[in-house]
Formats: sequence, C-alpha cells, structure tokens
Amino acid sequence: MGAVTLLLFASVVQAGTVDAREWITRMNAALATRSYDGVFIHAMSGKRQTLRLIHRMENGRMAERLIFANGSGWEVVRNGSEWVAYFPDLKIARVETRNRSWGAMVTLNGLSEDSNRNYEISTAGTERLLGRTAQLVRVDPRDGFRYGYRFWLDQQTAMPLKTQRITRNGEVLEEISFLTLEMRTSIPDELLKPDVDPDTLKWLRPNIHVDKPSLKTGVAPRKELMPPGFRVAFNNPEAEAKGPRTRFIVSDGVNWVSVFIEPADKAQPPPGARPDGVVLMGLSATYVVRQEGYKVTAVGEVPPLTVKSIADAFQPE
Amino acid sequence: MNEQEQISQLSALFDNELPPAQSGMVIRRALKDPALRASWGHYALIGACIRGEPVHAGRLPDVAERVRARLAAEAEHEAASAPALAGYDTAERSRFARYGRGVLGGAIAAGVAIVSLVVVRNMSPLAAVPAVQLAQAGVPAAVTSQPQAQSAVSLVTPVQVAALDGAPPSYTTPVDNSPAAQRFGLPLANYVVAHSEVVASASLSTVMNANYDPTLGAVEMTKDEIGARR
Repeated sequence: MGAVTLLLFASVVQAGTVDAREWITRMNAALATRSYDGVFIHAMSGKRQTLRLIHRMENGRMAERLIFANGSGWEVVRNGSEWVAYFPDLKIARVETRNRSWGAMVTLNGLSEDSNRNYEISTAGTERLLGRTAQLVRVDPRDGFRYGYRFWLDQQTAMPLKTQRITRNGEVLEEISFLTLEMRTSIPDELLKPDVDPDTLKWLRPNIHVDKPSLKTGVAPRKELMPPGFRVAFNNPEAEAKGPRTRFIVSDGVNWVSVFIEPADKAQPPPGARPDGVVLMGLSATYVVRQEGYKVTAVGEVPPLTVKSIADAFQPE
Repeated sequence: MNEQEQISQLSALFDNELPPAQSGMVIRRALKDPALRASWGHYALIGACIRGEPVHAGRLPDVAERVRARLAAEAEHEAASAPALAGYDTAERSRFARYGRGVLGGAIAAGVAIVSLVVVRNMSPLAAVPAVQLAQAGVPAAVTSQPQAQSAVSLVTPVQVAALDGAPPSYTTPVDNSPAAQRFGLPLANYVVAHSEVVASASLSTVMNANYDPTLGAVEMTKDEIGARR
C-alpha cells in the first residue's frame, strides 16, 4: 500500500516531498494502530498544561484516557465513539460523540496530490528528542488561508514526539510536546477508567437541536468562491443526522471547516463577534452570514478570514 | 517576599536546587499558605504523571496532607522531646537534634522524591521560559524550562495572525477573557461541538481553551440515558 502511494505521488511531487508524505503515512498508521502511554505538554494561547495520555488500540477498538495534571482532576475518556469529559471539581461529566478520530493526537489523513499546491511538504533533518532520533516533517502553508504543521517523528515508531500547528509565517499556535512516551503491547482496563466516582457527578450531554426533516438546503457552495484549495469533502443532508440541519465539511485536506445551513428566522449577530463578524474560541473561528432566508455558519480551526470566505461561498441555489 | 518569589522558591525546592536551610522554611510557608500548598500538590501530581504512576484525582490533597502530617508529627516530636532532653548531656542532645533534622530532612526528601523532575529537565522539549512565568502558568519550570538546544517557542493566538498575504497583522484585537457563556452564545457552542464530532484536531484544543465551559449548551441526561451508556 505504501509503495502504491509512493508511485502515485512520484510523478507530481519532488523526492523530498514523497519522503515527507511517507513519514506522514507512517505517523497516521502508528496513531491508528499502536497503544501508548505518555505525558505531554499542551501549549496554546499562552497557556501550558501538562497531561498524561493513555491510548489503547485493541481488536480494532480505540480507548483513550487523557488526564489533566493541573490539580483539577479533569479527565477525558474515549471509548470508541463515546467521549466523556470528567470535571470532578464541578461535579460534572459531559458526554459527546466523536465520529472520526484516532484520538487526541493530530493525524493528516486527507492529503492528496493537490495538497502540494497549498502546502510545502518536506522533511527537514533530524533532531534528538527524548533520547530518540526524531525526523522533522514540515507541512508549511503557502498562503494565509490555512494553518500548517510541524511533526517531530520518532524514527523507529513514527510516533509524533512533538507537534506544532503553525501559521504561514511559522508562528506557533499550538504545541503538543511529549515528555515521556512508551509504546505498549497491552494496556489494562484499569488504566483507562476515570478516577472519579461516576455516581457523584451530574451527567450532561450537548443540547443540539434537530431541525425538521423537510428543510431544503436552499443554499449551495460555489467552488469558484471558495478559498484556494478548499472544496466540499463531505455533505450530510440526512434528515436523521443530529446537529444543525444540513452540514457540509469543507477541507483542503489538512484544515477542516464545518458549514451548517439553517432557516435564518433567528439569525442574529453572534455575541462577542469581532468587527468582521468572526467569533474566536481557542483556535476555532466561527462566522455566521444570512443568505436569502438561510443562516450559514462556518466553524473551523482555521484563520478567521477562511471561515468568512467559506461561509460567503455558500450562495442561494 | 512576594508571591512570585515564593512560587519560584517552591519550584526550586522541587528542582532540588534549594539549600537545605531554606527548604524547611519553604515547606513551612507552603503549609501555611493554601495557594502555595496547592502549587505543591500540583507539582507532585505532575511528577506522578511523568513517572507513569497511576494518577488519582485525590492525590493532590493527599500529598499536601501527608507533608503537613509529617511536619505536625515532627512538631509533636520536638515538643515532646524538649522536656525529656533536659536530662541528657550535650552529646545526647546533639543526637536528638540530628534526629530532628532527619525528620525534617525526610520530609524534604519525600517532597523531592515525590517529584523526581531532575531527569525530566534533560528531556523537556519546550523552550526556555522564565521559571516564574511558568509557575504562574501552572507548570513547574523543571518540566518545561530546558529545551534540547531548540529555539524558543513563541505562541501566538489567531487574533494576532494576519489573515491573508500582505494584510497587516491585527495585533490590536483584544483577547476577550469574559466567560464563554457571555461571549460565545449557546448556538455557536453547539456548532463547535458538532464540528468536534467530526474533526479530530478540534477536540483537544476546544477543551484546552481557557474559556471552555462544560455546561455550555448542555442538558442533564436522564436516568435512562445514563443507564444506557453503562
């Protein structure tokens, strides 16, 4: 499979890029198939947190436990598609669903031949991390519509010892940096159980409304208005789907934006919006625009102008 | 001594860089000051994580209480032994004094052993950041301050990022630190949640966001729903 992938890319990309893509493929595979236990520092928006991550892949089923070492007792436990965040200090547990994910660590499963137009994908030598040789792989954005990544991959396992999400100018937005990382052949169930007694908590779930199945889409994406490289990767018009009616996933293969279409009867400028209408929450940017009686909401971990451009690209049919 | 200096001293204690004479003082101060005591437990918890020990949420008070109990026992020992020492000669007093120091030293050693971060210092991949700043950010300097000859990492936020080529960076946009419920309305929170369901990379940074509110846009589950997930 790896060889086939290489052949496909060989005609369109440089040898160094192929090498980098192979490293990313190896990383994706490692994160999807291996079990591991490590402590890392997550840094974002000037804030740093130390966490322990216990990740098990067994018989095709993923389980994961993320423990915050800030004294709060917070934990996030993943079991298949179920995602539960425990907040013992607040006496709360919040249950959500995760449909597509290999866990807390970033994977890049959407790379295509076109990705090279929007990113410079390259290897950049090796460094020593955690006493291991780490291969630096760079996914540098070619413009300001997207964020990029740097991965320091263990040469033996291809596990990301350090990951940075970066801007086009190389500024670091987010960093995940392991202090310890052990690959495990097995992880006992006990290590994946939250410490807190679940009976002492109030259990919450998102109160996501479901619109009427009869709702028509009303607006549709216009490819020529999309930011370069972004296109609809997935559209879920199923009436039974949870969440705001009619969801589009727009992506350039690395950055992902969700677009929701709804009736605009209650569309108001969101509280806290910037002058350009974008609301920022962590790395997530959200933009809402009204189009011919419909509300278009774009949300994603992309630069603010990208969500705005993508939402504006949805026009009445 | 201001709070920053106190935290810095506590950090130095866990780095095993504080002279023994000061260590006892720092420990005593930490036991009197709830904020410093919390920092102590925080460092200990991180140490447990790093050593790969099972982590218990209850460990935080345990550590502080353990040390407090240890010093309380020491105080009781000193109080109890003081009158009894009256009848001993100088050599015997000296031996008791050494024992007393041993108890204190044991408490210090326990604290240092709880967080064996010296090893970690040589593994930390993060950039050098002043210890005081790290302590204020809730991370002990011993964990994060010694990179492996790497350049400093300077984090930026999206509001600091120029949106497009040639566009001036919008450094002037203030970061809104008001509660999420006020600045990030319930409907928008729903979109972020729905987005996180599909996009893996959104999950971690959403929870790590300083303004993340787990109650936002949520309703209490019914008994049936809770039962079904078990």
